[in-house]
Amino acid sequence: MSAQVHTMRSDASATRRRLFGSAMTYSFLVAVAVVYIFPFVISIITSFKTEPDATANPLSVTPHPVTTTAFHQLSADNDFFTWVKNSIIVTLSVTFLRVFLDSLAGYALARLRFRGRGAAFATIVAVMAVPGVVLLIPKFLIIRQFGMYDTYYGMIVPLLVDAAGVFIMKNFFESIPVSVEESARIDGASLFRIYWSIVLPMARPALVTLFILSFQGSWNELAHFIISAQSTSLNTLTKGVAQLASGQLGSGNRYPLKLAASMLMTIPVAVLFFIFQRRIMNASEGAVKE
Amino acid sequence: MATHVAGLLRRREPGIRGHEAAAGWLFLLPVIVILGLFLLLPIAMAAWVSFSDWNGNGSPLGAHAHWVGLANYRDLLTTPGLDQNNFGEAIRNNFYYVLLVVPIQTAVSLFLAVLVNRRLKFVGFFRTAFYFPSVTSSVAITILFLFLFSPSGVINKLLSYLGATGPSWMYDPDGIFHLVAQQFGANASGGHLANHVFLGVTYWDWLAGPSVAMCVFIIMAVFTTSGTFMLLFLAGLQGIDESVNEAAALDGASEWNKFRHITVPMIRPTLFTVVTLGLIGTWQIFDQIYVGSKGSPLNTTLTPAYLSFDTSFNQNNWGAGAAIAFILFGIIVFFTLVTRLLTRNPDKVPRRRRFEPTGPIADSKLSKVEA
Amino acid sequence: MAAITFDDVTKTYGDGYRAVSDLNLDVKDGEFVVLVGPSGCGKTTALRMIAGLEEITGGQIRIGDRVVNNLPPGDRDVAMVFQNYALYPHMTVAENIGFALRMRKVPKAEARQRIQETARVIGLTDHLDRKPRQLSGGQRQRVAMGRAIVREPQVFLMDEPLSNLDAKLRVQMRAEIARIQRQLSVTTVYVTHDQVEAMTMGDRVAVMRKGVLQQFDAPQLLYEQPANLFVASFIGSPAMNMLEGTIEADGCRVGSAVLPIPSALTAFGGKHVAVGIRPEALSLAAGGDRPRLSGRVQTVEALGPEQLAHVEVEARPVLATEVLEGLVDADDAHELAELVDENRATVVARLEASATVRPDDQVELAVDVRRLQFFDLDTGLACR
Repeated sequence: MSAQVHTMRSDASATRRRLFGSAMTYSFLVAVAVVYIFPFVISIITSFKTEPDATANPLSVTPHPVTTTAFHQLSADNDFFTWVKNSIIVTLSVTFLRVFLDSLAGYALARLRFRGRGAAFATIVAVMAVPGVVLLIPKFLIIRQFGMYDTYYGMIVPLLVDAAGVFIMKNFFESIPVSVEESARIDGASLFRIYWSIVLPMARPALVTLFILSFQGSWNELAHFIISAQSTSLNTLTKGVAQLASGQLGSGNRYPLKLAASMLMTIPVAVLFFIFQRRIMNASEGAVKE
Repeated sequence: MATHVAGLLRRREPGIRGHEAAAGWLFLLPVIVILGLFLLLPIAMAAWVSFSDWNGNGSPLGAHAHWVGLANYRDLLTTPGLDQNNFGEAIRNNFYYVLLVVPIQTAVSLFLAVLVNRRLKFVGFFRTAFYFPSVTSSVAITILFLFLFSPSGVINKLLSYLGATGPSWMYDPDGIFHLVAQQFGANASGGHLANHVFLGVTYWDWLAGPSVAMCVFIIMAVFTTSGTFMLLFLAGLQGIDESVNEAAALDGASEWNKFRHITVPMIRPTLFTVVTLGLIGTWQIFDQIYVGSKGSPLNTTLTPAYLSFDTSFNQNNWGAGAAIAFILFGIIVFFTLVTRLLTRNPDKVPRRRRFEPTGPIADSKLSKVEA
Repeated sequence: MAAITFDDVTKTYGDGYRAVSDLNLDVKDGEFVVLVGPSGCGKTTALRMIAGLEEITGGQIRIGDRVVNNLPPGDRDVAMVFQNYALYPHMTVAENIGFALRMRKVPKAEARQRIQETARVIGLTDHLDRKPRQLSGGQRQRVAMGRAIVREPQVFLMDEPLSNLDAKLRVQMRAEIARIQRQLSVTTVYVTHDQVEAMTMGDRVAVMRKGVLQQFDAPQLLYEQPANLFVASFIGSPAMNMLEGTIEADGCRVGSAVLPIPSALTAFGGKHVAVGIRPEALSLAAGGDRPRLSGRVQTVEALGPEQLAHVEVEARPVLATEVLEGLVDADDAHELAELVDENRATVVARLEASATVRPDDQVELAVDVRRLQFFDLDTGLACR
């Protein structure tokens, strides 16, 4: 009898323990999610507040009054659209070219056999190891030396190659079976044609991933644009909004304005992220080799 | 006749692979050229500049730059003066930043990965929420945090609801260790710590810890990078076969024991990767300083990367700026190597431990089983 | 040591899939019970429910006197050997074996002794400091066994522990496991899809199909008195020959032969039944008055001590799903059904090595009527 009582009690406590565990996990998840989402929610709300309202009631969830002044201020200022234009030019150029060049290089490293391939690969790996910030001054010097300073070329060309992109493409090419290319070769196709018409279409998933990562990287890039150009007419969104934040355009806590600018500049990347989240998150996981 | 034929044969034939070599290099050419021109060459040029006194006029390869040997490095490291002072403070600030960010971001991202790894509903939503900050630009996040942490801002309002008065965050240059020490009555006046100096900074100031302003950047770093590292840890966790966890459960391991004895050892490679990436990233912090504080208050958010930029671009002391960049490079390499050394897997089989039975186990059924 | 009891145990997954339906099973204390069946039959699910690795949707499982439905795996005093061994890759053999002891805070000295003893039993005393990746497949399997043995639990559970080993090693390890179990006399539940393994190792064998228990008996009884079509086809290699027969006044007509029927069937004139004839119940007719099946030899397999002759006879094969599933994996069963000709059956006869049979020979096979099995084609159950 006591054995039965014991088991009944342990049954109940065991079930309770399990439910408690799940509840704990969920509450942690929700708590942390709130912490992570809250800043963005607040900044969107604040961008619809007036300045005094934002300063006085930072935590309030409803603006009093709701206003789009910040957005008007941004669009009235011609600079903002210049920044958008420049960001678009630079980002799209870098992204498309990077995808093309990285896939060329990745294909060469994966499929083509030639002397020095190993050395080339090793060099790319070595270069990847140099920390980006160390290269700020060096890159500036070279850009200036080549007369590319303060031009779109100076902003775009150095960003065209990243070793990580070459890696991703190389790994992907290595994972598709050679037989398709071999049968094309037997049919008489030239190497470039094999690359362009056969292998590249097959590489769509990797290309899309590379596209997204390149877009993200170049849209959010700041340091490189600081050192490669100084004319305000060449400012990208990142550089322009950074100057906004440093208070170079006006004074006071223009929080609604600054936050509106920040949120607007985040929109393209956010949209891309939400559409392609699975792909982005998978790419990040696999990007680092151990 | 035979040698003639042999000579003909020895002439190199392109063969079926002949075109590949040409094509291979052609395909690689753009990448190699750009890498060479914009990464390798610049490093060489910057190295030269670091050994020169170039002040920004004309070309650094021209008449305005003169060789000065290690003068720039000496000024930063050994000669007392403003340069050394700034450099020392920058190193100190970045050091504390690294010291706090790397462990915290590693722990937080591991914690998040473990949470998200459960087979629970809506896990995808949480994963997205935690990763989203990593997708945004440093500019947007810095502005966001400046807003949140302004003296009359959101964070301080929240703290006031809990009954505490928040500090003035970005305007507070006090090191947090100093603040703690002050609670116990210690201060900077006189004494050994205040009188001795390293890299232009007193020992006492070395022990200041990160300033309150720097703490905002620390929190920002954890906020933005935990998502990326969470994904890395997730990949590592998912590499652990579920049956190993089940075996541990049957062996009587609690959740904590499973985590400590099974999970953590099995994700060692990922841990190493995350820590290494964390070290490399934290020693390079620049964007946020440029946007957020430019080194203030009182140089407590100055970092070597920003100092290098400022010294060169704003003060036209290019030699010193380049030298700082190379010293920073050395620091990063050093820390990477140290991490590699410390987490090296001892794969060698240790000497056989002797398992001497100290007495018969009379009740054990095992002893009745013949081998 | 303890008995295990399944009381109407059911396991239903969230999408409605029933892995185990109303399982009733009792494993006696110290007994070696084998759960066998094709993939998807629910045997592994049943095993995992004993371990606590799967939730029980309905019914009760008792270990000893305790109802363990809600007891966490670590508290059930059950040890399990996994199909992929599930060794801790970063720990040495000694640490792997000793992990459970460490979790229960067994004093170090005692733990060391027990580990040493276990190592002796599994024959790995010289490998205690190696890591799993430095061991062969067979050695890893033994470490997995050692991990279970050292705990001296009430129950051993084994989930197809030998399926990753090569054939010779498998035969060797079968005997090892059986021997160790006998000497430790721990209640053991063993899961396999290999009916030969089941028959050679189990005190009693439970045959499962699609989540339902078909028969639970000693191996010999399963062989000689299968309860239904599935068990009859599943157990025995080569499989039991299944032919369609019709009940007539004087017996059961199968092709041109008339076989005597048990008294229970005499009333069902005109009924179609399945007649099961084991290969060894067929022999080359040499006079005598036993019923015969005549046909043409298709192939002869020489196995050394005997021959297997595949003979095409004029009878209809039984194409019920239970029979086909007993022969092959569930997926292949449908393909097999399409390939088989409805009117010609091929029977396998176990003949002596000295018998002269060649392909294309016309032969007459005498049927040993004492060993016939009859099955109702509507229910699949045996008629006795």
